[in-house]
Amino acid sequence: MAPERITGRSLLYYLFLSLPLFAFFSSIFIGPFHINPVQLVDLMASKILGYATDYPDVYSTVIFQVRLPRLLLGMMVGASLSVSGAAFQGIFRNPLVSPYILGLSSGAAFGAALSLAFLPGVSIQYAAFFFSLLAVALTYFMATTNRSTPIVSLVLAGVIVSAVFDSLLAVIQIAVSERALQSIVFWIMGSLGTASWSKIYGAFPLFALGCTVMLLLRWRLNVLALGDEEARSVGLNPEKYKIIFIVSASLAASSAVAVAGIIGLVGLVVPHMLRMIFGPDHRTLIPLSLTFGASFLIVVDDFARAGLGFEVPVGVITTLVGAPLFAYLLRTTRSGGWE
Amino acid sequence: MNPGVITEGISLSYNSRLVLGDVSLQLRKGAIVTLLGPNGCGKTTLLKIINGLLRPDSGKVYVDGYDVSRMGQTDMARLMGHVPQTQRSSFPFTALDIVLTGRMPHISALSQPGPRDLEKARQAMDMVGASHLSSRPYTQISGGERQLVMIARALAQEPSFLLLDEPTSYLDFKNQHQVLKMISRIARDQKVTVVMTLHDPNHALMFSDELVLLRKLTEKECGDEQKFKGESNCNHQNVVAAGRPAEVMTPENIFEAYGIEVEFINVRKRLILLPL
Repeated sequence: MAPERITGRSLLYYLFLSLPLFAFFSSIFIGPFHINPVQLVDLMASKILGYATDYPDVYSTVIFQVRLPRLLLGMMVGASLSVSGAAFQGIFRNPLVSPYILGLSSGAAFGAALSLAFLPGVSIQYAAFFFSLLAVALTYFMATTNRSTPIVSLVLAGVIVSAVFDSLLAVIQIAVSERALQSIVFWIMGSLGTASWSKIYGAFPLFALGCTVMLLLRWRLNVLALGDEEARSVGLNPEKYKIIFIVSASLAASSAVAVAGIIGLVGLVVPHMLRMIFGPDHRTLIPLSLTFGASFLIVVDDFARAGLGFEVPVGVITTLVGAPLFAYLLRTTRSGGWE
Repeated sequence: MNPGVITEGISLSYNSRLVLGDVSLQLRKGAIVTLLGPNGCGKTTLLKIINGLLRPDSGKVYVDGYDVSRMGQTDMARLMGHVPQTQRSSFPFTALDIVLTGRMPHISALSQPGPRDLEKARQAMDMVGASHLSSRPYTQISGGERQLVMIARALAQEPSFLLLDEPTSYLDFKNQHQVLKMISRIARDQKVTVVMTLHDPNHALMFSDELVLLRKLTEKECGDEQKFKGESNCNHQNVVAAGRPAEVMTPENIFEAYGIEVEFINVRKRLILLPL
């Protein structure tokens, strides 16, 4: 629902909702191979309508096999991490929480490393996906006592589970060859450089499922954010909704991490920036996290792939951009602490 | 007698300490009922049990004829609104967004609040005289204003029963009085039954139709659960007296509940309680 009172603000709301279009159409022209808008439209139309063009094959390859999958994957990953970050912040009642708080990233890193080092038959994506969800599940069950899951227990359990998977990862890193170690380190940094249509097809269903659930139930995050007892007294079962949101946010974030590695701080910074502009109402925050997150990541990735003349993993850039921003927000917003 | 809230032999232990022992009450529908007693007497706990937030170890609660333990959460939230004592704030939601969460029991599974819900939330803010706070962030308003917002949130549920846990804590002298006056006005205008806990016996005297005076169970009575269970006819009841304020508030009853001597003075046809 759009903010209704101030028209300037609702204008800004629709602008932010349409950001992915702008980001997409400016990013698709960025890169060493030059393509102009007329050529792009012509190529797109020929692909869709199935007529032949006299452009060399390289045009089609650059657009359809390199840039398009990379942009689409980037948008999907940015959206997943941002929406699940916003949802996690809502259920934790804390704006300084990321989708990785329950051990998801440590589990994914361990899974990817396991596949890279010892299980060449198991795909990296599947291993990362499986272990990221395993880590979240372990955290959840560790934190649950007497059918209730206090937030503080979840945070503590998340720290423990993350530490365990980090240690197991270290064991793998010590045991493997230098070559495998290099791949592990590179995977952990997070990159969109290996984007492909198969990765998009693989990650899309769970991304779509997780994000749809969070979009549909987003107002209930407002109810949940007031506290367990306050939620229960208006008839919302906090434990049930905690599970629903943790599962859908983790599915979306895990599918993102599985295809792109650990891209840091997007899930934390994007919702936070939006909250500063539009306020904390999840009815606006969740849809905007989807669109702004998608746009943010592909724009940052533009710098990662074309800004320095050589490819830098986008996870490195998001962290380098995100950390100062985060420090600034931490020091200027009053709502930084625990409830 | 038209019983609105009935408790039958409610007992609850916490960390093997008996907090509530065999509490049986009948609270009249349409009345303003105050639960009064010293710290630790279990009045907040009793309120939470009535609202279904806590389950008693034994005993039953009936609200408006319904067995609370068999009610679904949505039905319960339509019947009873609860204003908690603690005022948590995390995100700077606007006061109106907070009040709107009170519409939860009226909103179907996958939908969001609509224009009608917004209207109801605005009406609820109007009822407590907090319309001017609508767009203010909850984190930036005073404790008294937050109390009003939380009461409006409970009213947005359109409940028949309003349960308030110490609505006057965090408030100054003037605001305490105004909030209590507002609660009695709402009780009358909206035909809502009010059950609240209060600290100040004089407030209880002034604003209640019915009063329940509770006492804290002593170590001897409740320290050892096993002993309590074995000894079936020991006195482990919290309720000192219940009924009309003037009948409940006697120096003897006050002494039993609080352990202090008091005296009543009559000023302008109002009973004032003074500690000696």
